[in-house]
Amino acid sequence: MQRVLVVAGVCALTGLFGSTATAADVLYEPAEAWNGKRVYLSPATHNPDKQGCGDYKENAASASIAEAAANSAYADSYYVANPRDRNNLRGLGYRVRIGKGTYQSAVINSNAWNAHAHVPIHTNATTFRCTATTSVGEGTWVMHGATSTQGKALSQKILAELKTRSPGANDKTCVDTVCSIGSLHEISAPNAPSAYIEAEFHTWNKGVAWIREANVKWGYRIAVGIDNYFGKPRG
Amino acid sequence: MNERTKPLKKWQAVAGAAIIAVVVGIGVLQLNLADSSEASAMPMSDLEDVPGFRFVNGDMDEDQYEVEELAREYLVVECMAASGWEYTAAPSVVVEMNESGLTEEYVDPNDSITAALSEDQLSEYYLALYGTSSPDELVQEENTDNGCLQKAHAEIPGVFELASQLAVETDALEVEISNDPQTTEASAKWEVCMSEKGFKYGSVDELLTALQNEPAGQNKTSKAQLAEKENKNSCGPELRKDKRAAAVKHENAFVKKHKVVIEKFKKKHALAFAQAEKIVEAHQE
Repeated sequence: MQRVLVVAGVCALTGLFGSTATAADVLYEPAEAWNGKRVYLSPATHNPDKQGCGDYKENAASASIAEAAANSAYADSYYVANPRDRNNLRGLGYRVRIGKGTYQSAVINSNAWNAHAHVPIHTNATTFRCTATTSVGEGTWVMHGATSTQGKALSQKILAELKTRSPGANDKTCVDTVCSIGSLHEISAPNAPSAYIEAEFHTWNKGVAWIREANVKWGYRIAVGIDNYFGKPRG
Repeated sequence: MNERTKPLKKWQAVAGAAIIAVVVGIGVLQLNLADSSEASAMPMSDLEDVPGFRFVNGDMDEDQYEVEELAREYLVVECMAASGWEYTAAPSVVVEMNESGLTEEYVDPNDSITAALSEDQLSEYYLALYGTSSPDELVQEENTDNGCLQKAHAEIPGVFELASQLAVETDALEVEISNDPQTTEASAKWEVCMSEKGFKYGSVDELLTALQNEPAGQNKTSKAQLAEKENKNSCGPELRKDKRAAAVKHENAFVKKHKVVIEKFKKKHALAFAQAEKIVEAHQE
């Protein structure tokens, strides 16, 4: 028997994250029949954490997004009252692990578990423009490896679900070595196709406000994007 | 939630005693008997006998992975101790959500250990654990296999080792199955079934897309929600059974084609799994 943790909602769950001491994952079993696919979500665990506008902290926010993608229907009374539970990974039949260790342990665990998709979840940063009301370069980016056709396809499916919802205008998929600081470990090292989500920028207020609504408004769309990539398998 | 039907072994009973949170509220650990009976009626392929490839009995792979993960954690404890570091085995936790409330928050037993370390000490700790002093950098200098964690994985590669090695081949297998005429026929049969219930959808995909694109808060009486109810209760199980039947012949051919490597892996994994069980039992006595 595995250890079982009962939590009420996202506020409680975010307490699970931010540690980089060990390599353990948090697991979600499918709500009903398993559809045959395993998804590894890897929210940011920066050390030190990254700050955004106001009291924003990237690690907790990324964990909240991951949790919403995995299990949003059970984490908010709105979705409990309204039967949207199909639209999260658990509801759609996926087995999900959420990494809570380091980027090294996330990849090791994802590979050992033979995940079918590896999805790091972060929020982006640029020059702070916390009072701005119009985006300049902000938006949601989903990055993939230069040579990974599957990673690119997964990224496109996820972005398709987020781009009309993300407040910034600069939504795109791109190759990590072009859009980021280099070849990202969580794109190059996983065996599974990797789609690295930078869900908006936490350096402007509209981005922060949107990110904070992940659990009630849009986090489950990540699950829908992943589900579309896999062709909606249902056993 | 999926039902796991294996009898409890000694390590499982001990691990159960270490449950960190008490489940409260009715329904949290409810078993989905409908799913379980549907699963037992599914046609079985020879892949169900190959560790890491099971689908109908996919819980067996997860159960084995769970033992292997715990065994790796104990190996890490030993390895870290040999480097002079304290480490507490902390395998993954299953999260179950419950509207009625939080019982107890999970605390990683190693947090208190690392919190007490200086920056230099933490680098050394990480070097021992991960083989790199900065495992939380987005760009890693190089892949390393020198950490206690990597060594534990090398010693117990686990139930999914072969599935991982044959990922390209299994992707091709999925394409073969989805292109099989029997799969197409099953989908056509589903369409007729739904039509007879009064719902016009060209495919499950179409129905699910309609569901996913409903406005948030749509109530249970929307057309798509009602159609999904019919799908779930009548047409869906038949479709899955038919599709599984189509999959079986391809999966059996897959097993036949990779027989040598599969048989070799099964022997290797049986030994490694027995070793993992021994490690877990030894640490829990």
